[in-house]
Amino acid sequence: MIDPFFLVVLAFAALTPLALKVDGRYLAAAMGVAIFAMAFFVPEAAFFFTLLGVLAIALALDWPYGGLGLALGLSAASTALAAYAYYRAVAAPQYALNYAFAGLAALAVSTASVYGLLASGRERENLEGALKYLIFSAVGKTLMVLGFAIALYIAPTLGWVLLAFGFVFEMGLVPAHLWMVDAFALSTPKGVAALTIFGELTPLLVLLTLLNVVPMAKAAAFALLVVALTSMTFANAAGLTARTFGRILAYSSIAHMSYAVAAAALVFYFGNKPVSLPLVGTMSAFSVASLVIVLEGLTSGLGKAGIFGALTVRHADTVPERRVLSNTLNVLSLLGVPPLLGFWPKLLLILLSLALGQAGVAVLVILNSALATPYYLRVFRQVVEPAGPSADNATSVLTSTLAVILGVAAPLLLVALIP
Amino acid sequence: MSPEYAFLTIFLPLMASVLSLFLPGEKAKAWLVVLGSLLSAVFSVLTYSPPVSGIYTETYSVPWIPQLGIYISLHLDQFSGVMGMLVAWLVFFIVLYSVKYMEGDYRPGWYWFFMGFFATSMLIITYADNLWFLLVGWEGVGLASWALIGHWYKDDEPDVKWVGHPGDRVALVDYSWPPSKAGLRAILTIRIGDSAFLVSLAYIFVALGTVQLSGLFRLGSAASALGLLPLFLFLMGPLTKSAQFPFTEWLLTAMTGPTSVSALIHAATMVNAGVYLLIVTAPIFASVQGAQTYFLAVLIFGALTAILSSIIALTVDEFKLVLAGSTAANLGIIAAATGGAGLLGLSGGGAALIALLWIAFMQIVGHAISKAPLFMGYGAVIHESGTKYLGAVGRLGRYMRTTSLALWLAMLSLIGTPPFAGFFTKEMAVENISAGFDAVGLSGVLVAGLIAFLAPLYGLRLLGLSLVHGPEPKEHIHEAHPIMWVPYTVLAFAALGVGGYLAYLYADELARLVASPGFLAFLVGFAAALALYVLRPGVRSRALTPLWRIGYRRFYLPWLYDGVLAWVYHNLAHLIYWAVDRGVIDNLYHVALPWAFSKISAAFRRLQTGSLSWYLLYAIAGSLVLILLVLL
Repeated sequence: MIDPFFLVVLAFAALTPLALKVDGRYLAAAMGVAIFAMAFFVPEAAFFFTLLGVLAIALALDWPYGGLGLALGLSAASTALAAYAYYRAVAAPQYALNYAFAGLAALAVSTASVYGLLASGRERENLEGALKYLIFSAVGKTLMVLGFAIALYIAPTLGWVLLAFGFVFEMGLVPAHLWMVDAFALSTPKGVAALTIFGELTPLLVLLTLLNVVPMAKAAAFALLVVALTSMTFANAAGLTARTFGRILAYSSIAHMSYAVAAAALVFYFGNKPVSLPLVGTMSAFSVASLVIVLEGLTSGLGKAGIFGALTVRHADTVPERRVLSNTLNVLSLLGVPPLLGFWPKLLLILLSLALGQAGVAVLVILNSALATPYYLRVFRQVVEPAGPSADNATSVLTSTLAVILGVAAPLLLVALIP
Repeated sequence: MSPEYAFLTIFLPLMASVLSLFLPGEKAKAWLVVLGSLLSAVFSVLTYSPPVSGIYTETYSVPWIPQLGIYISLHLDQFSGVMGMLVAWLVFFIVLYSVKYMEGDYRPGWYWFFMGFFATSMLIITYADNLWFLLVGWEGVGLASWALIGHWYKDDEPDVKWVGHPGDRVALVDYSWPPSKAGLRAILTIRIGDSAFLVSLAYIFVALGTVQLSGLFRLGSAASALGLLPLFLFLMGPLTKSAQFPFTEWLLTAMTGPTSVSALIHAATMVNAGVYLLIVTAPIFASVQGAQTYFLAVLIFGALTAILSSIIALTVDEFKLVLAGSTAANLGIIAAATGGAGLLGLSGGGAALIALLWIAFMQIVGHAISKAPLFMGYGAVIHESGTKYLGAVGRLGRYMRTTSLALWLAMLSLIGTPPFAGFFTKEMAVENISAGFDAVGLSGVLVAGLIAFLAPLYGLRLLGLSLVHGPEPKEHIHEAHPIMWVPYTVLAFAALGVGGYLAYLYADELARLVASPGFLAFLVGFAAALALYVLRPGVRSRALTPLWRIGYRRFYLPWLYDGVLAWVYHNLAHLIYWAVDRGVIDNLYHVALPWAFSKISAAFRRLQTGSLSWYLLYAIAGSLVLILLVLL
């Protein structure tokens, strides 16, 4: 019995020839509507389906994509598939392995789609940025698939070490982070918007799915913790003197991914015990970590999708040409200013660290938040200072509104996200 | 005890003064505050009816923040009852006087508000049984003092409203003080004492679990655990509030305030708060280990203040400065009498201590009812003559007969002339001082004699040079308005009346008092002063001029405080600013840290070469390091 949603995704893929006849943005918009409609049929992942569907529609409305609009639709669909796989793996653990493989497949589709979008500007720089993404992502996925198979059937520890390295390459953590900066800076901005929301959220959801199938080995958790803590500090320090828009936000992405991975690594290294936190009550540490991961993915994705999605330049290794006032909220959300969305995952991560008795980690996270402030404020200025009139578009307005609403309604959001 | 009467006594003046803020016109404000103080005075009598004796006899308490030991509590006994009546009635007389005295002033709202505010704060101190509650009043009188000393904030009319001769300098330091500066001097000095006072209250609360005065009194010997440190910290409050040496300066420059303020706050009531607190806490502190040292310190500070301030009063050339010096001297007498009472009472026991403290307390009453009319009378003199300088205008006895009569009566009481109230209270207080010094093996006779000798000298000098001798006034001088002379004349006669009452009470002590060395010294001083300043228009002595100058320059303490200390503090602030704030903190946050972070950041970003091969190399190398880390 094939899961209906798999069939839907296959159907989307089968629509490819239509791209020759119909402008890709309409295909993307149609897929967005379809994903949004699917929310009614998949109550566990309804929140994600709604969000991704609406985002796909907004992105499609903003720019002409030509044939690559299909890639936009497929990247949204792959993220929806990854979310679906995660929530179904939790709801039906007996089929978790199937959904894990579905998640990996979603990741592959997402990478291919995002690569196309990154290179869509057809400039030399765009291609360079896209290729760097593709290569590192490919290495990462290879390690992931290999690692997952080994973890399942041969040796969980070795398997998870390989998986860990796979995620390091995929998500651009130190030491495999250097491609991220070039990808953000050199690629087509609307492609980077897709990368930040679809390309970063998908691996995070896949990570959560795999963790539900095979718990992370302690050695791998240790390695990931070291990587995460080093990455966040490295990225925030490096971002301080980065000069251009794309580079600053690339370092920001590395930092956000580090916060997410740190949550998972903390739990599996120090033990998945029940923790009592304000706002969420008593839950397993892994559930809290899952919340951190998902919220970080949403924060980073929504914020940067809005920022990059409104850029009118050919690549982001420069300062923006036009002012986009709605993106000020996106920047503040990335900074972690309450009550915007970005505040909550950082808070939960700090509380989780303290609950697990790791005050040092909590302090490091707080110091990193402080360290990141100057470069976010520099981005804020770069967003506000260019000449008007304001170039807000559907994506920037939608994402900034979501940053506010989801942040303010955080308790409701948590209820929706906790599986 | 009827707490309602007590609360009405305390809060009626404040209610009147707050309401006065909303009334238009100076007269409305003034008469409302007068009414409020009259009612308060009436209720103060009802509060003490029937009279109670002893100390902490009756108490009333309402919890406020019990976890911190803060209660709204009152105590009623012979000390608080009598003090309450004294304060409330003096407030009434003085605010009545100031209706005319402050007529046409440029800031009536401020004056009338703070007069009522002050009265309530002082009454809180008088009746409060809880030290935190007392602190509310303590701070209130300090604030009112600043506000009213600096009332004439425009710093105009230096010949009337300043202290000192404008332009007078001693070694680069100004020896003249405008009201704004004097207000600050007062509150800054008091704050120094209050800081230590606050610490001691906290210490007492932590050590003994309560700051209820009646509670502390009932602890008895259990209070001995306190030790001397909190006692000396506590002492700082009364020392500064009551202008004891070396904190006398603020009281002298406080004469920039309106004379009604000087009469009320800086003569009759607020400055007494310190010595009053010393008296009512003496039975508590007598149980503390090492209390003898504490009482000896009080005795010495008091005696030193009495002598030095008397010398200042003898040498200064302003009406109000003489009276201020005299106030400081009398406060010294009260403090020293308290110290003496404490030392004597340590061996005598509870009832003997309270009897001795009552003597010290009576000097508060005697001094207050003598000093208030003196200030009010000389206020009228300044008002009429337009000058504050002693020797600028004289022979005023001919032109202001009623005022002169009141001034003579009040001064005779103040310096200790029988049968006035001041004779009894001062003589008995001076006896306490003498006995106190004798109890520790020092010569009490010399100290007491000097104190008693100096008082008539400065007192009769003031009267002689202003009322009897001196240059004829250039402009026509007439008697003060009845609203002004009635209050101080009534009070001057009250000094006589109270003297008669005390003569009746202490009839069997009379012979002993008259035969005491203190009274003998008084007689010598009185005779000398009569000869020098009343029968003759003063005397100049070349030989004594250097000594006179030391007194006139107030022992160069203003030069120390306004010059040296100010210079040290100013330069220390500069040093801290340049060395610590700019040098260390600013450099760290704005130079060192940003430099360090930018260097680190630039180093990290140097890895971003653009070459894919290098990226893969770094990734592989980093992964190998990680694997090693995992394996190890």
